Amino acid sequence: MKTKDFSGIINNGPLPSPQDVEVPCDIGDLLNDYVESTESMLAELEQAALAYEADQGCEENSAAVRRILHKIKGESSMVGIDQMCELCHQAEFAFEELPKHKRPDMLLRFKDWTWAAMHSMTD
Amino acid sequence: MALNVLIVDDSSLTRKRIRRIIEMVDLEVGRFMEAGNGIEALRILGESRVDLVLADLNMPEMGGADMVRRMKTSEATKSIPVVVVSTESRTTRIKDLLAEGVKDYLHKPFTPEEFREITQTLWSEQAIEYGDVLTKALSQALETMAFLTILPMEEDLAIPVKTVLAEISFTGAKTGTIQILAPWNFCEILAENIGALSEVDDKARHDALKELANVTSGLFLPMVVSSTADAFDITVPTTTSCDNSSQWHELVADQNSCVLNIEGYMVATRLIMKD
Repeated sequence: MKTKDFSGIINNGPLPSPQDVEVPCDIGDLLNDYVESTESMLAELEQAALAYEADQGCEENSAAVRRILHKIKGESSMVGIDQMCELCHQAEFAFEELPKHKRPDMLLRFKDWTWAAMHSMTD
Repeated sequence: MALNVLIVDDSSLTRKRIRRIIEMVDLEVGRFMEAGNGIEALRILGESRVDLVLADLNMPEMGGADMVRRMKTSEATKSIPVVVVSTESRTTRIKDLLAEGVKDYLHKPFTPEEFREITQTLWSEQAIEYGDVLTKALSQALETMAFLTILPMEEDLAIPVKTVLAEISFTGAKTGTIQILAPWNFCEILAENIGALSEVDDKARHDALKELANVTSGLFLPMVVSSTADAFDITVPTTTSCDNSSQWHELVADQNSCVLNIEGYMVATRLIMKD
């Protein structure tokens, strides 16, 4: 599994192509479960990011964001999609480090990139 | 014995994946049970027999750490081993969890080999704990009733050939049998100490070991099975004799047995628990 650099998520820098995410060959029927679960969490993340933008610093929205990123990371890790795991890790770091007003854009970029990756996996 | 495993994670995908990893390991699983958070897990623990809990930390409503704390406050769940399965990598957090009673930690993702290693460690630890408890119970019983001394084990101790096996069963909160296997000549010393007899016949030997089984049960049951021996009915002890070493080899082969050196005589104890 190649290592990809996802540090661009914190500074709006370049990210690897979502079409290049590597999926373990033995993932089997778990892939559909994974994509379905991730897409559902991305929808939740989008809502949480928009709510966060509207009411910056709200602890409830922050907790929702952390929970979703952590859950996507955990599931990616369990099915062996390491690049997604790394992206989530970088996004978690970025969420803590970025100024509050920059966090929603980072989250929406994460959501768009991951959404594209999910579509690529199921094509 | 087939193990009942409870997987606690808010991700159904992760629960499914963990289950498949366990299925790859040569471990006899009776039932897989699943919970989406600590509250659901505690409910299942209250209703079903669970032998191993695999739990995530970050879950809605009740996380893994709170669940473990709640488990430790209940007599029924405090000794069920919990292994945390998480992406948590802070060593201080993991140390805190281990201090709170978590048995071990698996980092997501984990391999079947890592899971196998953890279960092997867990069961061997449990066997040691059982053995320690049996040793303690038997030692206390001997000190109480027979004034005999427990010595360190020595390699050159002779395996008993002629033996007497005492069995005493208990029913109640738990059901099982305690067995004590002693050499023939040890029973003679025991009978002399208990009854101050100058001549000891076969009946006296058997009666002495029955008495040892009785008092051991009284000390043993509150120590590991329940907080009070009153919660159990104990049968009258029975004894059987054996003229070759087969009785000895059969009993000590069990992982739930322990052997003591009592003033140069090897005495073995075994606990047999029933579901």
